[in-house]
Amino acid sequence: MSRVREIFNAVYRIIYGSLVATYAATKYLFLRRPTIEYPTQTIQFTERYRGALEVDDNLCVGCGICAKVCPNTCIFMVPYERGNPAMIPEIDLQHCMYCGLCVDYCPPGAIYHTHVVKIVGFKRSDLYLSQEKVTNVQELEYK
Amino acid sequence: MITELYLPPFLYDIFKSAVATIIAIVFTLLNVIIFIYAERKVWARSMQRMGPTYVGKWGSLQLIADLIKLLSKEIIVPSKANRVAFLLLPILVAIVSLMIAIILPYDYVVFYTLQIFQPLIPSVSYLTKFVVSNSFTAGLFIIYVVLGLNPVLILLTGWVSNNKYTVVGGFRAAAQLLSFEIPLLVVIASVVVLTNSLNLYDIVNMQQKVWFVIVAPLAFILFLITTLAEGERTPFDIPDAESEIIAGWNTEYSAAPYALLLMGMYARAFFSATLIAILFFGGWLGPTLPGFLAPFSGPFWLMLKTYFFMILFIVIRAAFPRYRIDQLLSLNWTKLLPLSIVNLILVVIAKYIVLSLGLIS
Amino acid sequence: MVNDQQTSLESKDIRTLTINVGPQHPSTHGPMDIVVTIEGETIIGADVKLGYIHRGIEKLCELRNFFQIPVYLNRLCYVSGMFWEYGFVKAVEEIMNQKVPERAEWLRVIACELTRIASHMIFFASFGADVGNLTLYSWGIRDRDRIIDVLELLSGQRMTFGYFRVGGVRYDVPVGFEDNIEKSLRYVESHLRDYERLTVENPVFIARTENIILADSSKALELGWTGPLLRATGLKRDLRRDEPYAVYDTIDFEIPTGKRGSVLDTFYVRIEEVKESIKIVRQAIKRIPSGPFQHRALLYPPPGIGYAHVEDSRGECGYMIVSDGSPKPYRVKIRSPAYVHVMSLPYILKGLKLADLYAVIGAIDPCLGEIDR
Repeated sequence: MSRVREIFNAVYRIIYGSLVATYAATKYLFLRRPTIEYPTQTIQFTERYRGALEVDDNLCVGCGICAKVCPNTCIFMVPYERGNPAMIPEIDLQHCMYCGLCVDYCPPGAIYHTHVVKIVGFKRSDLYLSQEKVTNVQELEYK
Repeated sequence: MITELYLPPFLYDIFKSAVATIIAIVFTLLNVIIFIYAERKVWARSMQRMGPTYVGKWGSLQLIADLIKLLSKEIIVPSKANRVAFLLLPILVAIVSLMIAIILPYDYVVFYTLQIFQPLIPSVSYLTKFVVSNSFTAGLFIIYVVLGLNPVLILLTGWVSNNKYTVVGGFRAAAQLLSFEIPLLVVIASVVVLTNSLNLYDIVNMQQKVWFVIVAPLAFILFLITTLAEGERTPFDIPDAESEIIAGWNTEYSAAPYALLLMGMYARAFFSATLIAILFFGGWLGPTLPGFLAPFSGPFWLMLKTYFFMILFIVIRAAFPRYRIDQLLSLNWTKLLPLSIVNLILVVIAKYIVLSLGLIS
Repeated sequence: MVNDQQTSLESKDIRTLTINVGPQHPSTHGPMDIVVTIEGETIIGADVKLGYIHRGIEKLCELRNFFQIPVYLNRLCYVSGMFWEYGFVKAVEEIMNQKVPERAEWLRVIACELTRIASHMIFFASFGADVGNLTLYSWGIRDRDRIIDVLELLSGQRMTFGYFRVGGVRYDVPVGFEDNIEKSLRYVESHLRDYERLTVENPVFIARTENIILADSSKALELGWTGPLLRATGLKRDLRRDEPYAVYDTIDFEIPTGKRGSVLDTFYVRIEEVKESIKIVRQAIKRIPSGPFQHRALLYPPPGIGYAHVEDSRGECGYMIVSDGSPKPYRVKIRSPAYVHVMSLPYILKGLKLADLYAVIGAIDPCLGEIDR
């Protein structure tokens, strides 16, 4: 008798299992999808999102702490043409790992993350933020 | 019709059959494209993503783009493979798969749909004489005889690729297809028990009072499972979808041959969906559509039911993982075959009950 | 007693075939080469070749300062990054005897448990792809994306977090965090029932995974397993319960265990763990005390040796740090749980069928980043 019960149980579980599996897959045909079509729609980044770096040359004092702190040594201090500050960081975006240590350790808070993530170029120097580009990264964003 | 006057009778028959065959094959190809498009969209939806959306509105032209891409690629033949056989086999597979399109009532669907234009073009009513599929007195039998060539062709396809893995893949696919044919044929036999006829039109006409799915539900379920296995669809698609370690039998095929193989596979799945609609769900029977759409009601119901089962196939693909090859074969021999014999006995009993109730003539 | 010679591949029998389950997989585990020797359909030996993604992280740690290392370590196992930062930071705090404020402990717990959910979603996704059900793959990624959104709100990045600091955490809770977490947890929870329907109650899935017994509990202990795999064999071992750290001893949660150590049991254990993690996060959100989120800490510890381990989503991840008083560590040794599990594949694959190989690899849940380091 328990053998019959076992078989009945097994058959019931097979039928029930198949039906609920099919139901679970069908249910999503009618629900709203969470995906978005990427090139025409994008997601919003949060406030803290660490995108490409930008330097505000009114706040920078040229101390060079960002260059010392960077784990990948992608910040290089160069003499600034405008003269104020004396030195300004140039950032190599290819090696940058967007960890944000330079932002945390900068005393005046002159270097900060933007939400720019789409920078493209044909040469390596397109991704190297020289002193002209490092103050205005928004312009380099690919549109 | 003009040809009636000028052609001798047997040439007229050949002309009728040729037109009907071409229409049926073109209709099948169109539906294969619809099937693949529906698979990509419906499966994507159940995964909560969109399918193709970019090419054409809602991605409808994506399949055309894929077809053009496939046809324009280079056909690679492995160096030590048998070149003639390698290139010939996909053509044979496609021919065998499309050959049964004439037996299924697709010419009926197309020609009766065209009857909607009868008020405008009166000569369209001549097309109803071109329906050839009702002349196959053993249509159901011929379908499975022709499809019985499939395992041999698939085995050969795996063999001629000169790849030890595709040989094993071909053997596994052939084993799967051959073993699942047996419960399939027993289930078909049980349907024939109910109708005493192998003609698809007779089977549908017998279902006017009650559909066979109500008379023999177990037959429907068994037919669904075995036809999924015959069409190599999930959960039974281990020979075809990237068979994990041992490669599938169609690994070495590249461009146009691959398109032919794919087309054959989806055509078989489409035919299975139509067969379920015809054998168990009353085919083209249903409430007549109002007004000028009256001749279209038969085709409408048939294609509606076919598309419903197509979507069921796709949803089953989304819901279930794959069986292992030995579990698959043991499922067949230990469960499906005994159940199909039990089903035969139950159908015989059901037939007498239904006959006495007068639901079947 | 497991014996190395049993797994040797020097088989002179010509009926055996050696197959390379090559570095490229059709699933998302990573580049790992498994050379299996089969006889007919049964596996009689296996050999795992690693190193395709070896990046020299332990050596890299010797060349970077202590405060620069945590931003590298989340790249070890990139699907569960927070745990790897946590282990390092905990080991450094142990050498320095650094106190961590309570608010930071609670935030660490929240970050870790959310990462555990995210990592288990990747397990579901790649396991589904292994057994042939691509729907599960999509669903796993969809739910992981919601959790990653929460972690982006908290830490600023979606996969390479950089959230942990010696002495606390890097940022405080942002505005609107509680609502966001609650919505995301409800979103993930609403789909868990469908995961169960599609897998644990699905007859094809059960048939595929039920009868593959990985190991029983004594063999698992011999092999050095930890984490969900050990719990699937029936033992209730969890670092959060046995050696509580952070504030786990004040939180109320269960430890799910399996019964026989089969592949289905590992799956079941991980689904239950997701539910428990959701419970932990909900309790933690309510109980976070106010206070500082970082204490002042030295940039590098005095000379000493410290070992710390945390309960990663795959097992016990441990760090041993030897510091010699300089700003750079002398040696950082990383103990990766998935490495132990993957190297025990030769012992558990013997006798199984070839078609089960992918199910077993999926059940072990390797993440090649932490295996090769």
